[in-house]
Amino acid sequence: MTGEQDAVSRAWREHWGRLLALLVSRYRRLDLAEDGLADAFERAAARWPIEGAPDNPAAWLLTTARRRVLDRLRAEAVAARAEPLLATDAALAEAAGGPRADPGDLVADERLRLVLLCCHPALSVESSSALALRLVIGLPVPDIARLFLSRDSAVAARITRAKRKIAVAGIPYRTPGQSELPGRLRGVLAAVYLLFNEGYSASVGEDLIRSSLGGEALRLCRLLHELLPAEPAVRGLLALVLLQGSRHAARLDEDGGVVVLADQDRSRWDRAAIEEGMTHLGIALRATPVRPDLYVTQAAVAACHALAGTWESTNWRAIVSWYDVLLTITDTPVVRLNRAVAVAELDGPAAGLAELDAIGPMPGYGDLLAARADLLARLGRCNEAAEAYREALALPGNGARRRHLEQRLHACAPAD
Amino acid sequence: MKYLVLMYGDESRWEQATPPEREAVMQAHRAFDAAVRERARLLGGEALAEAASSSTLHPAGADGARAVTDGPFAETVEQLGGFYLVEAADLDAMMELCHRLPDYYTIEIRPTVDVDL
Repeated sequence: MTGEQDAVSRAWREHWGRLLALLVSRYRRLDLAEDGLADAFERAAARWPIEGAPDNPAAWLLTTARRRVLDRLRAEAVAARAEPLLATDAALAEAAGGPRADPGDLVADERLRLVLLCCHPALSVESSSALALRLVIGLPVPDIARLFLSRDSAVAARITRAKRKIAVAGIPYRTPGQSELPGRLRGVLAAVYLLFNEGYSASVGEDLIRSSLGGEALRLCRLLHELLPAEPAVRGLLALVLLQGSRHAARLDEDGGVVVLADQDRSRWDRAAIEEGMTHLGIALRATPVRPDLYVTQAAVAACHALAGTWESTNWRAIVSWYDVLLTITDTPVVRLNRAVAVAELDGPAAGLAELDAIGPMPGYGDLLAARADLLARLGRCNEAAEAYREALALPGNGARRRHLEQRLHACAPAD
Repeated sequence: MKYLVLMYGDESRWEQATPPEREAVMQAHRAFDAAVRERARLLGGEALAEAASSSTLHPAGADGARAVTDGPFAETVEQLGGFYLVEAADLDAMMELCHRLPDYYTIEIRPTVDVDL
């Protein structure tokens, strides 16, 4: 890949989400904003290799995209012969650089507003979070599918239907009023959580950690908390992001290789983040004594790790209990898998393996295959472990995690 | 944007309702009506007779004839009790108006599409 093509890719990763949000904010048309931005990137891919990358790629892309949007608006105005000319001119004038679409903004951050649009109550939570990930973060459909443990086609169809519904049913792009915000919450939290997860342990690419996504998730969490200080779920997610994120500096070795929790140098954990996370968790737990919240409970698990000075002193019984609570909220293979791993630490690998096998076969679920392989290896069943590692490696995945699996495979079956 | 507002309800609830309960329902409809005229456009609307009074014309069978049956499209507990056709700015505006309708309805808000016949 040439330098200029690199620049386009980099611009995509760094600026796409923010530029889309700005365009939607200015022109209030999700479809035109997307098309305009896609067009701008196409032009960049064609022109930058010839002319060189601009000094300010974001500005170049935004200008190009806006020109495209205005072209389309003009074309629509011409096509809409029935529209009185006056109204169309006014719309164009506004689009060309009038005041921002929403006066009296409750939610200043464009990306959060775009997430809130995607999480309209008339859209299902699954549709909302998929749409938000696609539009706000620019995550490609296959990556989203992996996060949802779904097929690419299912996720693509869901996103297409959601966009179509927004257009056909007239779901408006506007900032929700204060009283409407709690109703948007489930979808927004789901989207931000998925975003954090992708940043924490990337499903694609070479790097395990995508810091920009994790940073984005934290920023969105803090914004949500500012808007909704009384919502325990928001505090819970903020606590989770802080507590898991606190391990950042210890999770990679000098070569960018995976350092598992058991081997991490805990002196490198961010104590300030842990302290802040624990404070939020405490408040959120006290606020939800009867009905535990999804994110608060997950934060409690993260807290158990944060409180343990060493791997050996980890309170696995508490962790398993928290997973039992989590299962009453959401019984999914992911939760069952994490619980099985904790059971293995508490009651030994055989017990953990039994729990894991009770989940049932999930051939496309790499984490489960890898966990199974680890437990088999610990039980001395090396051939089966090697087979499971190979199965996991046969799936597409993150480069750093694959290297880690390869090392584990090699330890079981040196001939490989 | 044009929306068809479909009000589904359990007919037995209306039958068993007391006069004050019925008046409350009428009041809600009047409030909806007034709000729509103020903030949107009311293009139409009717209360419907009970589902048992429907006749249903079916697609042609093997013999090429279209059968008629006595009763509604589907024998469900909740039946269509009435509809409105409203032009509103967007879905949020439409929803906000529909909140005035009686609480015991399940209300489907279906956008219309323009078809050139």
